Amino acid sequence: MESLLRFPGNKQLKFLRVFSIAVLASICVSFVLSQYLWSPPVIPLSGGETTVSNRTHQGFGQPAPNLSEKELALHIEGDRAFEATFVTAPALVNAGLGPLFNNSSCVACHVGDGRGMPAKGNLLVRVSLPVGHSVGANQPISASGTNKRQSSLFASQPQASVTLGNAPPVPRLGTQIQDQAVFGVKPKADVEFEFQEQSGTYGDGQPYKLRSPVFKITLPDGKPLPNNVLTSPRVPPPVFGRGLLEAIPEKPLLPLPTLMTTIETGFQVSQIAYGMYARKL
Amino acid sequence: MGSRPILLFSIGTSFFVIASLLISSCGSSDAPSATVSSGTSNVAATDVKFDPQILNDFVDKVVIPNNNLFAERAKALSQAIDGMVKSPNDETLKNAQKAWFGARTAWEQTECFGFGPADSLGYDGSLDTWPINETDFKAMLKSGQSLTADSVSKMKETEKGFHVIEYLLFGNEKSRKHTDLGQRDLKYLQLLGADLAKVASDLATSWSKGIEGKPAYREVLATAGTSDNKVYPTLQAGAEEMVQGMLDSLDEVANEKMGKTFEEKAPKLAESRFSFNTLTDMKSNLQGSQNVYLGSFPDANTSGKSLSAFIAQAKPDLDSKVKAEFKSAMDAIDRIPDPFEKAILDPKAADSIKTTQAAINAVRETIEKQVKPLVVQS
Ligand code: HEC
Repeated sequence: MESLLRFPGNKQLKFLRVFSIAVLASICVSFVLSQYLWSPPVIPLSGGETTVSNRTHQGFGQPAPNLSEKELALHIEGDRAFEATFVTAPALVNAGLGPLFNNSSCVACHVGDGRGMPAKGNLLVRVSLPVGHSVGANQPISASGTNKRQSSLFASQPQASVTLGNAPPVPRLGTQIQDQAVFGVKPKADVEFEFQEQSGTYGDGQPYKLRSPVFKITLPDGKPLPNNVLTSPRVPPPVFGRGLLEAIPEKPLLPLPTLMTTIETGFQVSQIAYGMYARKL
Repeated sequence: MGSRPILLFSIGTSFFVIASLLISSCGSSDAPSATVSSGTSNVAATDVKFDPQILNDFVDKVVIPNNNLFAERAKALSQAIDGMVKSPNDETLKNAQKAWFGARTAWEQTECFGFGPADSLGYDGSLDTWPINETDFKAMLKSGQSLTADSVSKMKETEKGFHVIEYLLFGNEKSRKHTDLGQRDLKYLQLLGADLAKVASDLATSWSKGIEGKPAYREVLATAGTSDNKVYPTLQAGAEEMVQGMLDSLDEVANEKMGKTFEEKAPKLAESRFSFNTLTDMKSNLQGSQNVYLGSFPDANTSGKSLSAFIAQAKPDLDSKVKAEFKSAMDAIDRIPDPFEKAILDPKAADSIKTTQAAINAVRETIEKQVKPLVVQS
């Protein structure tokens, strides 16, 4: 008690003096530091100059903010085509739908340029025969890439809309079921699905429920799709950012396509109509 | 000075340096938000906070009354078609056409809130797909294929909705006579009317009560920023959605519906060319955006706390500017001679179209560059 109330002695006064000088000095130093050394932090943008700040339903549909006028015009032109609804010829506008199709516009599936829904019209079903089915079971894919006989099989199957090396097309269906057709034409199959729910319990006793789709695919003759046909239902993925892939020059990728480099690099190069992209295997 | 004062000096200095650095780094943590959103603007945020009541009133005083009016008028259209099917004559055809215009005006005003259920549940597609597939539905009408509510519901979106009904009721260039329509045409028309009324009613329900086990979109938007709202994690996100809806609609009117059709001098691109209603469609779109800004729906006499009031509080000049720009756009569109399908081919009308396009783009730009940043940063 006594010691706390004591008038500051010589020693304490000296401490206080030194301390106040320290405080003044520190204020000066930190002022200088904050002015010259501490520039406000810039939060890195996830997409660099292409970052879009828009979290509305149109977020995925925005062009990159740094496009030139010419690039923006190109974007708008592409966007119009992506949103255009196509109809059966003859027609004044957007003629050329069908005779077989999955939907009549890109955006009808890639809703708002984002993910589509697991719903009729949005999802599509890829089909194939088991690998090597038409070339003899267990025959490995040769080192030069796709098995030669399999490639020639693709050539003889113009209806194969997707030619994945390991997915031999199904006769009369190709590799993607086109479940819609213009008036007077029969679709390739009727695709219906239902969700089934399974319940179970985790190790710690917590119950869970899992929902999975069960497909019912019926061929035009009324018969179900044969059991040996492999099916792969797909939900439309978001489609923004493809321009970034397009911007990658082809040259450094071109030496990659053989299976050997694929194994070495872990990348597979696919060439598509308007450019090419590599994807990690 | 002994070693102790020096120690004290350095401890004191470093303490304050560190403290002040910490403070300055904390203080500048809101600076980056301006850096991040620099894509949208360099408008400084104000202290005025966005009032959640604005979103509440947007849904209750604009969206829901507008959707309800549309559902009512879609039902009236379906009934007018029924009347015409029962006794096809000039008068019943006129009635049905009038009812189509009525439903159309209500619907086109909803365009600027076409997000949410209209988009994700496919209502917009069932109601208003363009262009229509004339080739297919004409072939279907010629065939013997059975025509039932079920067969119509399974048809493509390009074979139902407003514009197929429009085609059947008005014909090319508004030339329809009741004698043009045969029994199957009438049956088809009747089923399409009923389908439109059903979808319009579902759309209204999806906002007000919720549909297919989904929560009412009214709740989803009006509770933006509350802890369990997964769609709009912040109030600003909900508000931004509302503003984006206006921007989309204004852009579509100025640059697609009006711009592209005029640029290509192509009446075939005019959206409601069978009934010559394209100009009225565009006026309704513009009206719809203004409704959102002013937080009111004049056709049902409802109004509430508005985005305009928020802007007026934050930047009174900006609010006056937006209001004036909406007015110029409305005045300009009123000077375009009707029908738009003919105006685009008439050199004397070209100026009125260009002026309108510029006026709509002006208000769109003001909202995008000045209003939206204030809302997002509020
Ligand atoms: C019937 C629905 C449907 C339609 C119509 C559709 N897509 Fe797709 N799209 C899909 C599905 C499903 C996938 C995923 C395929 C897969 O997983 O193999 C896909 C994949 C894509 C991809 C690849 C995305 C990636 O990550 O590799 C692009 C790009 C694409 N679509 C663009 C388009 C364009 C452009 C159109 C219009 C010309 C279009 N889509 C029309 C359903 C559709």
